[in-house]
Amino acid sequence: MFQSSLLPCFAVLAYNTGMMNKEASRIYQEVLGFIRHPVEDGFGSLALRVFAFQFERNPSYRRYCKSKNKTTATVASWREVPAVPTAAFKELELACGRPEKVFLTSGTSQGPAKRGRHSVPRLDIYRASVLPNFTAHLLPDLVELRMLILTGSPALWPHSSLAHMMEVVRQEYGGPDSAYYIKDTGLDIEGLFRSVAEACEQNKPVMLAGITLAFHQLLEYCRERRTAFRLPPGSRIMDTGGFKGRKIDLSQTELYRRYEAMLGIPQTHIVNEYGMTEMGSQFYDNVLADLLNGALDGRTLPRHKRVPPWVRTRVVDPETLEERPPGSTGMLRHYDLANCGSVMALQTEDIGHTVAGGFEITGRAAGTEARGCSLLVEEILRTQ
Amino acid sequence: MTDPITLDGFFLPPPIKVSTFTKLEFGPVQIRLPVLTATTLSDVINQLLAAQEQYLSKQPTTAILELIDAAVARWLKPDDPVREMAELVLPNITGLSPAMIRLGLTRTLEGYRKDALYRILRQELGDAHLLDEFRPKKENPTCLTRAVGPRITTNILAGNIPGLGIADLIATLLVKSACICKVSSHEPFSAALFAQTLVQIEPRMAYCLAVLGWAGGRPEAKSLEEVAFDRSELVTVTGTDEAVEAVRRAVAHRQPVSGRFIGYGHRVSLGLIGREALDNLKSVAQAAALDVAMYDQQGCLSPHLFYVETGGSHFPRQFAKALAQELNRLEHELPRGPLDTPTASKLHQIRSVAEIKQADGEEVVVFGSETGTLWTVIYEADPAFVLSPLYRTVRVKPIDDLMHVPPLLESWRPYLQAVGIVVAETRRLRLAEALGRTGASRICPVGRMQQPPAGWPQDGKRFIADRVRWVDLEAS
Repeated sequence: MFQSSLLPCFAVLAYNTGMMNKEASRIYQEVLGFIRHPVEDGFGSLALRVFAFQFERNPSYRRYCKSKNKTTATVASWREVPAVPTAAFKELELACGRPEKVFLTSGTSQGPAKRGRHSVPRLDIYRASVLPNFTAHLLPDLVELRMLILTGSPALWPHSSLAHMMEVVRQEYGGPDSAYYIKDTGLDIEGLFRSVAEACEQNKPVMLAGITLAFHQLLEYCRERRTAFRLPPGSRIMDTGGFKGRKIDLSQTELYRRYEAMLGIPQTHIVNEYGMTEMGSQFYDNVLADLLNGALDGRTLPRHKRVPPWVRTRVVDPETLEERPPGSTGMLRHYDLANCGSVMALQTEDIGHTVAGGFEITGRAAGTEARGCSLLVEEILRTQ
Repeated sequence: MTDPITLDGFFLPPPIKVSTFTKLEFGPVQIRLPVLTATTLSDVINQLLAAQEQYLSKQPTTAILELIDAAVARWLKPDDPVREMAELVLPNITGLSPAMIRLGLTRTLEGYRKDALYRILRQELGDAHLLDEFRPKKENPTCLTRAVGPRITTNILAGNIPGLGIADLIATLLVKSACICKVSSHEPFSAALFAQTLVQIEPRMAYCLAVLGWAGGRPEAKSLEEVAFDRSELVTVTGTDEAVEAVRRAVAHRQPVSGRFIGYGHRVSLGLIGREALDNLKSVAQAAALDVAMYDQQGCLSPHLFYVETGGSHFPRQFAKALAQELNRLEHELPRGPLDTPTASKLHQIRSVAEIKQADGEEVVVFGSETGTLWTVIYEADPAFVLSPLYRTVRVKPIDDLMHVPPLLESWRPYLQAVGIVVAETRRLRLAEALGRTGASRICPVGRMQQPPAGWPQDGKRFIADRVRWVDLEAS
């Protein structure tokens, strides 16, 4: 009696779950298809379908949208899709279903207390978004390079989206002897130094890729040894920018000048990556792609970030939330189809402006500005 | 586009002349500061020391009080050209609204009229004329004593509150010390304007002052700091903890034995509302809103949050709503200044994160200005003390008993400054004892957090008494 009355419930539940999974895989397949073969004008309608899916499947996000009176019935364009502040990933589970992988933010800029969690239901979508974008901006010449990776390996940094991304890239494109140089004891600076020297001796171009802080250590190490390298032509750098709260007062221009001087890599071969744990896709500088695509006769446009076809970036005024005209400063808001399993529309803490073909980042949302005796929030948090 | 107006943010005693300047841009206003060399600064100090010896050291306290009072009176008079200039220029420099500047200047300077200053002298020294002559000691009348100020003081001023540096300048002159004010790049104007006001009243007094600037912490500033610290008998600094610590080290290094130093670093303030106060919900909310709005919450006395006791005639949540209404009302009377994009973005982030938590069913309620980030009240059940991003963003947290607040502040102990309270008389002392043990140095009524009495002992340091040394003359 008891069993027989429960059974149909289970059956219905199983049926519903099946339906939902089917629907999920349909939208995921659509996104995968779009990333692989983007169609012009296809973004808007797919973005609305992704929004409808997330509205249905991500309960916390749905409640937020409803509180803003935004539903699938009222949202008519991807521009109206409510954006979630990246800081909310520290507070709530924002996923459409069970994740295959959870990436955590490092939390260095705000103390260890709270780390952002990005639940990714399908790593194949993540991978699909990483590879073509990386190829277009770092390997437009499709060469195989030894990769000297200045991050931890996925085994060492199991929660890091950056380590995961580097592993995806290494497996696909890394030449022989590609390796990670951040170990459990920190940056293996001697090993890295040796590998760089080796590349010079063998005259084999390499790709150095990783966190700016590690590059900075390498530069300091070279400086102490009064050594400057001239890495073979074709060598390139991908750095992820930012010193994450460390007090290194160095502009990007100065840093890249030093890369050039100490490692012999020209500015055109230094590509900054801008990514975040909460986002499946990344942005890269245009410089190497411009140069090697040949469309500009060997010239490059000023350094800026390129937006891949499955992403849109808007710059909005933090007071009015209206879109800013090209060139005017505002908050960067990204709409990333690769985030179809969590939240597509992200309100970042980054400040910038749009330029033809992309955008530039010029800063980050303030802590509380240090003025007089009033308090600098992040500074105090660091001292705790 | 009209050309920016260029104004001087410095004041140098004659005959010192400087030929190179830097300019700080504040929208339509440019503030000109001299580029100094160590030699010029040394000349300035010689000049100041001579003026101090020949003029200031010989003036009776009452005469100095009169002259300061005359300058302060001009700053308080609405149609005085000096006051008009301050009201015109300071909104551009500080980002505060003109209404805020008007109220702030009046409130700050009212405390520096001669009667108030005379009272501070008497309270702190026991006798307002001890800076003029030997007087008998109270406990031992056969022994005479007097107070002596430094011959020259360097004050490194903060930039968060307009006109704050004027207090340092006044205190320095009151102890008959020549005065170097190093202005902040955030507010490099009011100290120089005050010096220019004094010139019109009594140039000999003004020529005991120099107002100038250099970029602290930079290599080129080092030689200037060395000269200033070497030759000053007192150095005061208000600023970030880093700035205070850097100056403290530099002073200790330059003046290993006799160097004196007063530093004011980072501070955090908050408010506590007792359940009995909630009977007067509107008036308490009004008072709290003023504390939040004053100086757009940029002061070290600005409350980061309010703890509100449960069990009263209104819920803490209702207080949050009432506070929101009052902040909304104040936005018309005392508008917040415009913000730069990074700051506005931060406020937007904080507000939207709270909104998403509220939507998700957490015990969070967000009240915010309809447009923009003008003001935000976040009611949040989680009792942990958190810092506000300021600019009129404040949290309200319920608490069963206000006596449970001090333990929540434990990790903020070194930074705690003012606590605004509204509680029944019967509970006031016990609560104050607990807050005092937690590190608070000023406990005051809510609504007056940003209006400390002139000469209040900031962080326990006295306005006048900590700037002087004592000389005893024993009976022969």
